[in-house]
Amino acid sequence: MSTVERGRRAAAVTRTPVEMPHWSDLTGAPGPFRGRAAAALLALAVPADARVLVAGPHDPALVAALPVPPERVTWLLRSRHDALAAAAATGVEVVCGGPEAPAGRAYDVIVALDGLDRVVSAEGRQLGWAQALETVAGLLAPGGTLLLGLANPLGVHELTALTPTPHEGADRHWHAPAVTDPDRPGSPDRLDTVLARDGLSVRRRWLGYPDPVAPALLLDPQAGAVQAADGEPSGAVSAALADAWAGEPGAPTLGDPHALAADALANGLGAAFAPLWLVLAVREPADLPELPELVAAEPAGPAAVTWTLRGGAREVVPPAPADVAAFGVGRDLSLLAGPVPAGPGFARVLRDACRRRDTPRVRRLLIAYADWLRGHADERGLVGGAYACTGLDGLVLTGDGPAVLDRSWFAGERPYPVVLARTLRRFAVDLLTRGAVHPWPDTLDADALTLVLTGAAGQRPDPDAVAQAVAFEADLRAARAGLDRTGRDELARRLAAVDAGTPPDVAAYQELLLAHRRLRTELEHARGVTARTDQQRRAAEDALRGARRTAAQLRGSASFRLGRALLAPARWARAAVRRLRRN
Amino acid sequence: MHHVNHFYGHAAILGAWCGLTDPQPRVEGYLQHGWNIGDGWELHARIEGRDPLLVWSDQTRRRAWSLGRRNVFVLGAPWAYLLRMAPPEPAERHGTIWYPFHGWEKQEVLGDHHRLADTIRAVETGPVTICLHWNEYTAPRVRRVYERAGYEVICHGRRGWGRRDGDPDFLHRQLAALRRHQRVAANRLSTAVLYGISAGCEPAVYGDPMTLADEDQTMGGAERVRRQWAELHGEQVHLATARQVAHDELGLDHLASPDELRALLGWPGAGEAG
Repeated sequence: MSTVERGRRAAAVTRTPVEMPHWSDLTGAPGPFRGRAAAALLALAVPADARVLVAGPHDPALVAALPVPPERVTWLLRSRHDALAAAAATGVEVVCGGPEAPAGRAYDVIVALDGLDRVVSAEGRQLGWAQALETVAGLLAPGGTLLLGLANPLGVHELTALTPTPHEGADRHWHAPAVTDPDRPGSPDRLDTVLARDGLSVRRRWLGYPDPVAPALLLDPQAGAVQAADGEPSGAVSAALADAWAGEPGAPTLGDPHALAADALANGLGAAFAPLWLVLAVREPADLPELPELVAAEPAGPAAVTWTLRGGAREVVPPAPADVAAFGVGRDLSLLAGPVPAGPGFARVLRDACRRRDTPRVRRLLIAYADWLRGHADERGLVGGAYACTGLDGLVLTGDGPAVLDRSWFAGERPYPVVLARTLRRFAVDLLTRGAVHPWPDTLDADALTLVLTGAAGQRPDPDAVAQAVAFEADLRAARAGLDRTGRDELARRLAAVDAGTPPDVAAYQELLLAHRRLRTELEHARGVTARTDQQRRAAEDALRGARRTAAQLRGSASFRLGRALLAPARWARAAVRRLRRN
Repeated sequence: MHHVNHFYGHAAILGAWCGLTDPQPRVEGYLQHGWNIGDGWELHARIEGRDPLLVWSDQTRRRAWSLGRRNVFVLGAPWAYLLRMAPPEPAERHGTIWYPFHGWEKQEVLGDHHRLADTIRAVETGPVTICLHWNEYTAPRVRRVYERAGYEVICHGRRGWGRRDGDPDFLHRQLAALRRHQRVAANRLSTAVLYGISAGCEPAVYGDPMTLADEDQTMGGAERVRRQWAELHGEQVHLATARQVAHDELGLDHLASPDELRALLGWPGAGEAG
């Protein structure tokens, strides 16, 4: 039993008895499934002539951007409020109810990136996860494609959450927590098995970071192009993973989820701890277009783009923003497309050598980097273009030495020592604020460690260059983030003020605890130095007192008085000569 | 800062490496001043604050960490810096330089030097130079034993105490003496033997190891040294192995460049006022 009404843009909203009149998934936390990365993937994965079913809460912008005409799209939502808003925003047909509502229809593509937890209404029959899948899969035509997301209950977002999702007790948790549902697959392998039961075979799988409903990075960990030679993630992946968390600061966490995710990926456990599994399953036989191994949406900024990696080559997802320039820093997006240098991330390799306290290797790497950078300085010793603004985390280590991952950013020419100090200070700050293991004494602050790194790189440490490097770093970051002058100056002050108590740019309990420990260590050191200085001062005072006593005793002796009497005429003569000279 | 940093002219050597002319440059940290099987210092040495412990080798760093020390940095031995700075070595090498195990200001060595002199005579075929620690060199009782046995007896100088009475050229003299000899030998594996190997001598460790008054056995003592570095013991020793051990124990791979060291120790840069 259903009734049909027309939205503002004359799109149909089909009503069912189980629609939720009081509810909304599109507004409030955690919000609908969203993001530029998913939009880019859909643009490549959905054929232009497909009949599409969108199941569950997705950002209306995502649905509107599907590469098919609105009349070929049906959208299933459980909230009446959302259904009306979605129909008005996109002009697609909206079915308001549970997954049984579109029964009897057939679709070439089903988009369920948000998963199946939010397609079932609080009203009426309660389908478990597996039944919901069975119902949705029943709508897929032969040769059709299901794009299904599944939040990982053991994803780094859950492991580092201060309050694990199932125990939040939020209004949306009227059903049993997903993690306790025995039918809900808890691993990618089980997901494959469950899909196979419904006659679907998984052809591609991406891991989504950092948020299961808003992935900025989708990554196929099996693709050869995203791995370095030793099976570790390639430099491009390491950089994209760091970028995934580099956007707006998220909620406070127990620990840094990026560090966990990076370690998991490096150890072949990316899928086990990724926040989101996104699979492309088909009802065979099906032909698929060539799909990317990586989709990355850069952190927000005036020049931010979304790009894909297909066969090791980067493509910019249109529409690309206009070229921008601020604080002497700009971007030429035409330089972004093309092959990406292969190899592990330079910063990752260097951090690993630091972690092992392998100073000989650290020095070799730093010298190779400093020599490479010097090779890109002109005859006046100035470095410009992409070389000036690429940090160690923007380099990969190839067989021929370092190579720039993203050549599109450029900065005005700067003296070589300033460019070097900028990249090394950024690395030093990263080591210190993250509490990373490194070989140097922990009594060195960020600037002092930068000077040591410069020396280890075979270059002369220059405190003035370090001061200029902080200003340069502020320019670069401000240009990327689109800050105004005030914001840039505030950032520069913050960068200059990094000390032992500075945590990394993540509100994580573990990192704050480490920062607290560093402060205690610094205090302990300062107290030790004070105690020793005090002891030395007392010793010096005792020695001085002793010397004075000895001098006084000598002055009182007969021999001293006799000598003084004998020398008296000479002293008078000298004083007289001085008086005469003055006159 | 700490007077031990000036033993054997260690701080001065690092200063010279960095182009400093100060004979006693201030070192923000504690320099390891001799090879040992503990954390680089005398057992239970009191170290205040968090000043870095600047040790010779990564093995010592790991051991120090396991003994509760923190903020330990592998700098390499000052001797290794001296080797890099020293002029090319002379071609002529003869005989053996022999280092009987020595005590120090607070611990005396107990052992029979007559018997040791006999052992040396039985083993060494070339001329032998006995090198004594200042303590024994200035004690006629010990010194005469070797002089009467017909050996040349030398001393590299005093290591100093409390920034006074030290010979800043101690290690320079030791290097010159080692480079005049074909072999370096001792009755215990010691700093001098490792220095000798790195200076191009063939090593040997044999004879009565003697005992040190109140020798602490916490780290295993002489017996542990014999066990862990067994390949360096004997009248003849496999040279390539010995060189590798000396290379590692003196931290020859860990030397910091003058620029890095200046930054690390807070010393002024080249050309700046020191």
